[in-house]
Amino acid sequence: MQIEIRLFATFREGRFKKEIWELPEGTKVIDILNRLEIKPEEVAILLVNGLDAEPERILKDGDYISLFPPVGGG
Amino acid sequence: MLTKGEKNLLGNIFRREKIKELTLELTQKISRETGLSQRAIEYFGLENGIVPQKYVRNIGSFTLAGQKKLLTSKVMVVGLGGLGGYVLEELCRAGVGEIVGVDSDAFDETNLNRQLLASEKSLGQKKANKAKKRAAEINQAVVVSGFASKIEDLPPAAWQGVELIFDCLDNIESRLYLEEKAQNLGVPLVHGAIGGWYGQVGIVWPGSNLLAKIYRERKKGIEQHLGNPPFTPAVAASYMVALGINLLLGNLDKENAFYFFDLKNMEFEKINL
Repeated sequence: MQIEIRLFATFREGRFKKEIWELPEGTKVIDILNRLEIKPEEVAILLVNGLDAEPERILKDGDYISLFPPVGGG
Repeated sequence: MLTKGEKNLLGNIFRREKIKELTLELTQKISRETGLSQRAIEYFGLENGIVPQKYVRNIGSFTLAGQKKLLTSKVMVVGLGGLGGYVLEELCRAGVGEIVGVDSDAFDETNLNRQLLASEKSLGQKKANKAKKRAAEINQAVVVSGFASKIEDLPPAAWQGVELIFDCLDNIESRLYLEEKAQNLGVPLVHGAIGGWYGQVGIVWPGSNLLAKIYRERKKGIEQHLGNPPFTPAVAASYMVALGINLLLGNLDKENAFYFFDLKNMEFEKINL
């Protein structure tokens, strides 16, 4: 199945902005995080198809995930 | 805002002086003559279809009724640094009638690259005091109180009548405290946070626990290694004020409106949380 991965802000550094990956059925968000070498605790906002999701979420063909790092300054 | 007697008094003066245009000079003169606040006189003008000159360029974007609503609104700005300085500036110019500013810090040299209220002359001054001075320079009609206090130590009276709070803090712990406090008060929060070229803004409705969800046990964000360049706070603050004014004017749906922006790539993302 195909999953689109959208990275934001610092997550793009040394990685990419947007890619489509061919992945086996049953792949979870956490599997993608592991391959990206992003720890779940580094992610502030995790979206699947634009909606809030958990790392344990099992993905379906055509899903897209968006990852945002934490921003806390003022 | 005005008693019947005060309205009669102002009505007589407006008729006597044949007032068609409300200038700053005239407002000050009437204030001296009647002992009424400039804000009350501006309010009376708006009620009678006369836009104070200082708000003329707001109209078209705000209606007269909207401008009147802003003039009677009371908001709190928590944090008067990068975000808070610009937020305060824009609220004063918009004519938001009462602003409570909160910050325990004094200016230091590392603030000079981005904080509107920071100047070489103001180093060492309390941010809350400088905020009051700045507000008075821009718009004397706005009532600004400054608390040189940590948000956690704010006296209960400071929260009185506040209908909207701007979260311009720079640390996650205090943000989570503020979210809980706002929830207990039933007051919405306009959240803003920045780091490097990036920032996020949104409305935190009471009970949504949005900040607790985003930050969890986290203590720091990407600002720790990206710093805070000059332009990001101004952009985030303007989004925050636009959101806040829209909320005060009743133009916002009660959905979780949250946005992430990237000034390096000029991107803007709406996020559904």
